[in-house]
Amino acid sequence: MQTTLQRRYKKKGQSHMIKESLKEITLEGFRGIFNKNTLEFGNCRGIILYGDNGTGKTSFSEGAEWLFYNRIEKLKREGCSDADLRHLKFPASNESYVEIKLTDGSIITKSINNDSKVIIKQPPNNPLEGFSRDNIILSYTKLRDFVDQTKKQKLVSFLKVSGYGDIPTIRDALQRSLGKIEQEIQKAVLESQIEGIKDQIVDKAGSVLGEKVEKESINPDHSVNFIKNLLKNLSEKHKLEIDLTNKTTDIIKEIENTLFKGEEVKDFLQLEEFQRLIKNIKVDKKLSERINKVQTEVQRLFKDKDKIETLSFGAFYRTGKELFEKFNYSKDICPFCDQAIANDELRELIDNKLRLSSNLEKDKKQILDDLEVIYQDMRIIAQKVNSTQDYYKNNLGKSLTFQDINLDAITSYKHDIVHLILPQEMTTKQISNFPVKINDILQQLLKLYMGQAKNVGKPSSKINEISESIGKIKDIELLFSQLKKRSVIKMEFETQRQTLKRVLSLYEQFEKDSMDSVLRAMSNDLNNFYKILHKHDNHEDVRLDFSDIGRGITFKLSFHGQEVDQPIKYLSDSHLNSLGLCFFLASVRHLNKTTNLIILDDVVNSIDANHRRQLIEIIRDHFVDYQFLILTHDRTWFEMLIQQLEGLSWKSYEIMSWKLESVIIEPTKDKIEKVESLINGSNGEGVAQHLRIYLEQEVKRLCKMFHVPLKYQDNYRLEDLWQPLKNYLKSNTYIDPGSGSFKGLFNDIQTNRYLFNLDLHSTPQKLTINKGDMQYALDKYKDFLSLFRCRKCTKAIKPNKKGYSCSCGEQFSA
Amino acid sequence: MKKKNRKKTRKSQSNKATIQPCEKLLNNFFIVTLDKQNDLDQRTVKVLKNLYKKGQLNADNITKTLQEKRTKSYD
Repeated sequence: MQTTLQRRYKKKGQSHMIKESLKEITLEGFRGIFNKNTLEFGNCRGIILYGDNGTGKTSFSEGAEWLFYNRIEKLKREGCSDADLRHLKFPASNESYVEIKLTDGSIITKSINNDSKVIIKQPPNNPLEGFSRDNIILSYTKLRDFVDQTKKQKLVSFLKVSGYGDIPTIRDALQRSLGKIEQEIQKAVLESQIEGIKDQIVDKAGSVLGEKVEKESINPDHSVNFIKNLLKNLSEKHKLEIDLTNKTTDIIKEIENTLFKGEEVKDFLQLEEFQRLIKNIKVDKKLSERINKVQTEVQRLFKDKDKIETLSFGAFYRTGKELFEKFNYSKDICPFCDQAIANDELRELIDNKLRLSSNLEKDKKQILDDLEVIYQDMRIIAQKVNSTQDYYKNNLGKSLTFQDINLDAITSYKHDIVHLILPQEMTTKQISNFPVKINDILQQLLKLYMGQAKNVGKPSSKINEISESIGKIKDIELLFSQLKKRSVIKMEFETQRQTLKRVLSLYEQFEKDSMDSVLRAMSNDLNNFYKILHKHDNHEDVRLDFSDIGRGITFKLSFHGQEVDQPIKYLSDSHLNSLGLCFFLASVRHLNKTTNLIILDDVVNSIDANHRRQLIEIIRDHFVDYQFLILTHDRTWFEMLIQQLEGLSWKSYEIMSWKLESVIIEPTKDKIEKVESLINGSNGEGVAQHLRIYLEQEVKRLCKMFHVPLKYQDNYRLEDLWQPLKNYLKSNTYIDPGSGSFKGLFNDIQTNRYLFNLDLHSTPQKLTINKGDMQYALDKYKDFLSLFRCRKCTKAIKPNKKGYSCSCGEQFSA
Repeated sequence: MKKKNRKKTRKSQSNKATIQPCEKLLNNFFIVTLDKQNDLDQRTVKVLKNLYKKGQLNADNITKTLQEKRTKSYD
């Protein structure tokens, strides 16, 4: 996450940059394209490329896919490799490549040689990185991918394309850390420890006061007052003169100094203190059990070399996995040992190893955590033992052999586990004898106490009573310090827990709001596009819904007034396909940041002609600033695109011929050129058919442009439009109805059997037409076109607010 | 009257501000939203903010840093 976020920090504001467009795309020796072929966008808005099945048009979308995403989805399967990117017959000495030229003039080239070595050449600002984050290509086989996913998969895909992946990652981190802190609170058993200490204070204070003490009165913040109250009570009971304004330790010292003056009393008191210190040393039976448990766990974890190796290589597997993802490694060769292995198998192997090492790392961490708890307990016991021995040596004993308790064994043990030293090779292993050693020392100390106690006489009962009470007050002081420490820990835990909980709840709201706003924005477009495509269907309010945080995304819509959250239940396959198409287009509009390029590869296969027309409307009117590469094998769709997008700066190419070692791609011929070539080939039927189709297309375009009033019909044919157009032109446009060219031309066309004959249009007959007739029909068609073309530049005349004009600036008044 | 020289701008649907970048939203949450909350322990919030700024905000780092803060406060 670090690199992603930091990288994004650096690129702040990138979303406001101008999006990249292509000037041209070139392939050579790549997939189905043998010889060098270039599609030149120049300054046009888009390219439509037509090619029959198997003529290599998809190579262009695959080339872009490989260049931008470093993969070709359909080649990510068993038996495929990078070598398949190259053309089958391409000379081994040549490099296959994909090259794009951007509008700023920069060139990006990616090549692959016969040894599958890939070389990328691009400007230093690494534009490919931006392209790789954008969603650029949609092919027919991918149309339904998003629609058919489960809601969880949809969320994952959405996060991937939206770049919002860090949002749930951070929520997950907050959730897990809250869980961890709650676990720690439970593990620390602070509540029961605090209650236990309070019980001890109640017990001891009650014994000093001679009356019951309420547990609720025990407050670590008022410990000084509590102890002073005990001392006051003691002084009143035994008529001692003390100054309660002094510190409690000074008051205790004062009592001891004034009352216990005699040597015997002093010895007795020191012996009592020694006994108190001994009693404070407690080796819990559970400590031994915990030590044994940890040692068993260590043995289990370290019992074979394999596990140690897997653990040691954990970081290696992680890095390997990251590199696989980063470079989308798809070769069938192990990059570590160069042995042949199926890529899927290799990935699975690494995943398994990684899973195993993660589990082992968890076990290792648990052992180290347990050892830390054991270490803390041992440290406290060791301190007590050492200070008791010190006390005896300084005050009572002269012949004590001091046994220093150090914790080197456990420190060394921890070190060995951290560094994965095999148990048999561990330098120090014996931590289990710690409780035994402490018990030995305790026995010796008790023996020393018993030996001394025989020789020391008991002081008077009053002094004895005061001494006991003072001992208890000292214990209470100690208990209060423990209570304070635990209370502070508890409070700190609680504060952190509450804050994390609150931050998490704020974050969940933030996540919901952010996702909702993204999905709302996208849903607007999604619904808009879907409604344009399916104007007459009663499908409303198509949207994406993110109802459950982290659970998933669903499509929802109102189907004939009924709310539906599984479109697949009610929508037809073609509707579902168009839903996928609309989602893609909406996501491009909202999420792509680097480029405005969109590649649509055969996406209309399941869409009928009427709906295709609506799709063109979306492309034309809603993606004004985008650049398209539309690939198709469907001639009707190809021609519909050309006709509907005429005059809007689009280019069309056709794959004229495809042979394994030669592909010819050429710009589509102009309509006139096409008819002329048919005339040259003496193809009478072709001439008649083409001219009629072109005439009908032009008449439809004109009726739409001039808003010619028409009787409502589902479909309009040439004869339905001809007269209304003629009538409209007479009275509403710049055309002079009285001019011979207008009057005569309409009559000539209407009576020309090759241009206007209905039978020929719907059911072509065998025609024998001489070239002169064909040329005459073409000339009439040209004359008709010229009525609506600029005299100066021959571009199409369009209506504007003032009248009619051409893009060259020429005005035509009505 | 002088005609105002209005700059012609083409209305482009694709250029309208739609979705905020992820990092901008996250920055806003960690810098602005959390600062507005008075009921939060500022030391804990600071831990989260610092880890976020360093790009190291994960469960292990949060737990470890919070534990260090607790130890400091009672040592």
